[in-house]
Amino acid sequence: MAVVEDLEQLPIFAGVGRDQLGTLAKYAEEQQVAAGARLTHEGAYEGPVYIVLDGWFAIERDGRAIDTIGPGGFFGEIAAIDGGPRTATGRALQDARVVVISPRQFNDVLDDAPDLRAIVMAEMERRLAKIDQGD
Amino acid sequence: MSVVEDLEALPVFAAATHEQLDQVAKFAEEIDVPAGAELTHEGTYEGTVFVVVKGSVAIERHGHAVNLIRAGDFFGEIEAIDGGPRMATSRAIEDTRVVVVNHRDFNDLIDAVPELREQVMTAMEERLERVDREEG
Repeated sequence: MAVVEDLEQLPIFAGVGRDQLGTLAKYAEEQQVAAGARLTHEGAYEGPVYIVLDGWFAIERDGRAIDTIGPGGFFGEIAAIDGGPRTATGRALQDARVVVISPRQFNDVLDDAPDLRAIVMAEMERRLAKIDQGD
Repeated sequence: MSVVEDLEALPVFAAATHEQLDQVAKFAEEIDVPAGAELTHEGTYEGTVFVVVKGSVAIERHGHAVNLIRAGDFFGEIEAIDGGPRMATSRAIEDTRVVVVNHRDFNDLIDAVPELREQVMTAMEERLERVDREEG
């Protein structure tokens, strides 16, 4: 399946036009991830945002699991938006498949899609509040 | 053990046939969740029901633990039935194995198995009453 078709099936992209998703898909890549692999690394400066197509990821801070992200979810958005180091490590709990988007493309799409921006910002705030609470 | 065998071993599914559980297992995922990780998030729309195969999961509302789900039990059913946002956050309190079923497959299964539907409805009512009682 083409990346754009995979993206169109995800509820979070419901408010995003086909043209915008097409642009996103042009620069996005699908990646197979082996169980145990880490896609983000707490403290590291690294760009991409990940959208989960299949499989589940554990989100870890200081070596402790704090969250899980499953199909249709995303992670890595905090560093893409604030430009800071990763707030957490994302580790595949099983073989998984993700769409990888560069921070620049991600921010461009958010600028063009207010509904998606609202979803992402609300989720980011929820996650940051949880981190504040836990630390 | 395969997903369908894990489901068949749980008393909650005793009334479901192998074929019905096999249908669910085909699209269900089994995941090993590390202790501490959240599985549902109060207030968000998420399309999944979880069955605990081993381990245990704390159910929290407004940051307070309100229930504990152990192996053999399920959670996340309320939103599958009412379509609303999550009533509670759930967190694995030890390394835990769950089977994740999406809302559609879950609803198809309880439509097909009246005994299971009754168990699910009873559990849901009991849980909603508990929330009412504790939050007045």
